[in-house]
Amino acid sequence: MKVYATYNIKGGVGKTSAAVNLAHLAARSGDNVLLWDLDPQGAATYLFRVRPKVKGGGGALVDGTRSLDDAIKATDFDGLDLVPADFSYRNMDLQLDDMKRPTRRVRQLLRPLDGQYDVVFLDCPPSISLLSENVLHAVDTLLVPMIPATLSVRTFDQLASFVSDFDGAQPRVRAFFSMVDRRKRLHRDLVEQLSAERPGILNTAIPALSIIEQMAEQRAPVTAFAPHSAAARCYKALWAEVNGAEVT
Amino acid sequence: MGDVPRAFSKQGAVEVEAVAAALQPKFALAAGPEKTVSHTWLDTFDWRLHSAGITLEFVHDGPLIMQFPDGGRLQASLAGVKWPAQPHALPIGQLRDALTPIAGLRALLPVVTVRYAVRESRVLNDDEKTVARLLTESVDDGTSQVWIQPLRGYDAAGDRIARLLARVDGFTAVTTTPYDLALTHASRSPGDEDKAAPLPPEMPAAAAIAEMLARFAATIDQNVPGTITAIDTEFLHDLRVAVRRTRSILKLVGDVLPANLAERFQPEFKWLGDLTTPVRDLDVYLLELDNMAARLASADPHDLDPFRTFLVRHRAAERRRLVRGLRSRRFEQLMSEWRSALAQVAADADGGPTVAMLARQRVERAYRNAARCGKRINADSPSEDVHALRKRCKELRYLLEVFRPLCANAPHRRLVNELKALQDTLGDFQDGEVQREAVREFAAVMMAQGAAPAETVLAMGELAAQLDAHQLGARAALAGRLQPFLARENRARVKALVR
Repeated sequence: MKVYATYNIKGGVGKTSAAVNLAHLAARSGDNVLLWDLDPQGAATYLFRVRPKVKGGGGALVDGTRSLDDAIKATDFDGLDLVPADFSYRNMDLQLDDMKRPTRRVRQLLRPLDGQYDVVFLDCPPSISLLSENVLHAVDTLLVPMIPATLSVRTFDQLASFVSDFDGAQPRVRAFFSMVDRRKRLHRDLVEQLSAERPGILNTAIPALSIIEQMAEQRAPVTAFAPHSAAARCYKALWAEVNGAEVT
Repeated sequence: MGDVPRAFSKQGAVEVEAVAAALQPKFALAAGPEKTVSHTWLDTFDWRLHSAGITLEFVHDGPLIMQFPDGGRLQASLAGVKWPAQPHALPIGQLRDALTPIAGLRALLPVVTVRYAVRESRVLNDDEKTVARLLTESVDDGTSQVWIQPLRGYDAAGDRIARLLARVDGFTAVTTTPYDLALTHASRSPGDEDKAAPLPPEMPAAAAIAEMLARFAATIDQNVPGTITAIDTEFLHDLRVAVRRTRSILKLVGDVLPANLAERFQPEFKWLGDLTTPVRDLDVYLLELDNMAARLASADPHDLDPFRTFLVRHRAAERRRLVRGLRSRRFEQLMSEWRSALAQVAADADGGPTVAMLARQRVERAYRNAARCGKRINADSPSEDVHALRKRCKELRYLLEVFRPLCANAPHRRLVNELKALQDTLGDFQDGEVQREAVREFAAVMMAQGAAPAETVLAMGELAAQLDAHQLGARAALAGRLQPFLARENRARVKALVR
């Protein structure tokens, strides 16, 4: 079972869009995929038309009263299941803090699902918190969408350096540019320059396209409702590159 | 899964409008297009998936879907997979991991392909989220089936939909699964082999024995194609078991058959048994080699690679000989003459001893023989005595198997369990010795052919020592296993066994 997370301290950078579309592409290629919407705002849950409710809330999942398995809902897409968001996830840091090994709890919760899923995606809320530290310890690969701006790259460097201080297993950190506006010279220049300079930055960039915003109207991944669109092609290229990066 | 039936059958076509109306206002129906699809189900030759309540299926070239009894579902891509396929030939992933322990050594075969006119509709809740799939299938005879497949996490909705559909005019709840329904179109189905004719105690012994032998003959026939095409190793194994059972029955009760039938066919079945032995022995080595290599203490497991290559090459040559034998006129003639001779016996049998009388007499005799051999065994007994005991135990076991319908349940089970434990130990003893000798012979042949580097010969030496230790262990365990088998109560149990 390979675990990925889309993560960034900033909000509105395309984390949920990436998680939803990459999860859909993985399932379509034959993998058994689980997406856990950890963001109490529940955008991924909304996109899959699932009600943002987990019995007992995040607390019951964290303390083990209810298993993650019980919370799983199938989406409308074969092979793609979802653990929905719940508004109580906003308190997850406090609940995690009550546990014995508070930074490893998410990893522990995922372990029993090893026999059911090939790929797990964690869609994280924008923050730096105990939950995000949990996610960093739970994943094989951290996918960091970044808006082309010098400051985002600085944040990426900080994250890479934070992860490299981990004892034991360290996740691969892979960033990609998201919401790229090709008409802006600054965007073009930064994408070109930074991708060449930094090894952890993937070649594929996700452009800012209105069809990606339409996901909220359609309530489906763009790779499902517009599989031949430029946006879907970019997500396919991104998934191929992430998968390739996995192999090496 | 709830207790509400989730499958319905209906004479004639299912009207989408009637179904949609029944579901309102709680649910909406998004009807898919009707299309004709080829739906293929897979299983092992001996129905391991069916026994476990699992279905494995694909539509056209869609993904492979594995469905569990609790509604769980796994999928895997089918790209590049050719049937029949060993589980390890499937793409790496959860489906393969779940399937491998169930299928074991058996390959997965397409069992039945059915063309249906199908319509997959989606049942939506008020968020327009799919909560269940509704699968309508129509077959040639004009009946239609409707299956409700709730999505994971929507079980309650599945029950609610089922209750609403139960009210639709003409819908009758059914408990068959889609796989079982498809199997009605298959040339073989689970349980065919077990559908043995009942064995009434007063049946003439000759007719009863002829019937048993005809069943073994059918097993031999069924396993020939899979052995010839080498689908998996278990076809040959099952074929050999049926041959061995045939030979034992001929030896132990063949005298009740008329006209020297046993004497006439015994040499031919010996030929058939001998024909199959070399490939099976090599199969066992190859299946065991990884385990044995992993236990090497001094040598590196890779030192055995030339041995593996030698076994594979040797097996290919032996398989050619086996296939020639199974395609020969001699084999064809043996089986056709055997079948017609048995049919004749069954038709002619009249009078003579009953099968219950025969069973009582022969089981007692077989037990006496085994017990006599067993009593002679001590820590220093020569291997030949242990082998003789093993053969007698096997004979007793075969008789207990074929006469089981005539026996009282509890004592039969107890006796078989004790015998099984003893046979396992005897088997370990025998395997240890035979395999050790064979390893020595293989090493000599490999050296003569210049195919054995020094490190391989050393590793094979360690292997032989391992097998030696295994045999010694089995011998030490033997006394413990023999005691309960030889106990006085067992003698009484055998006497009262046949009802």
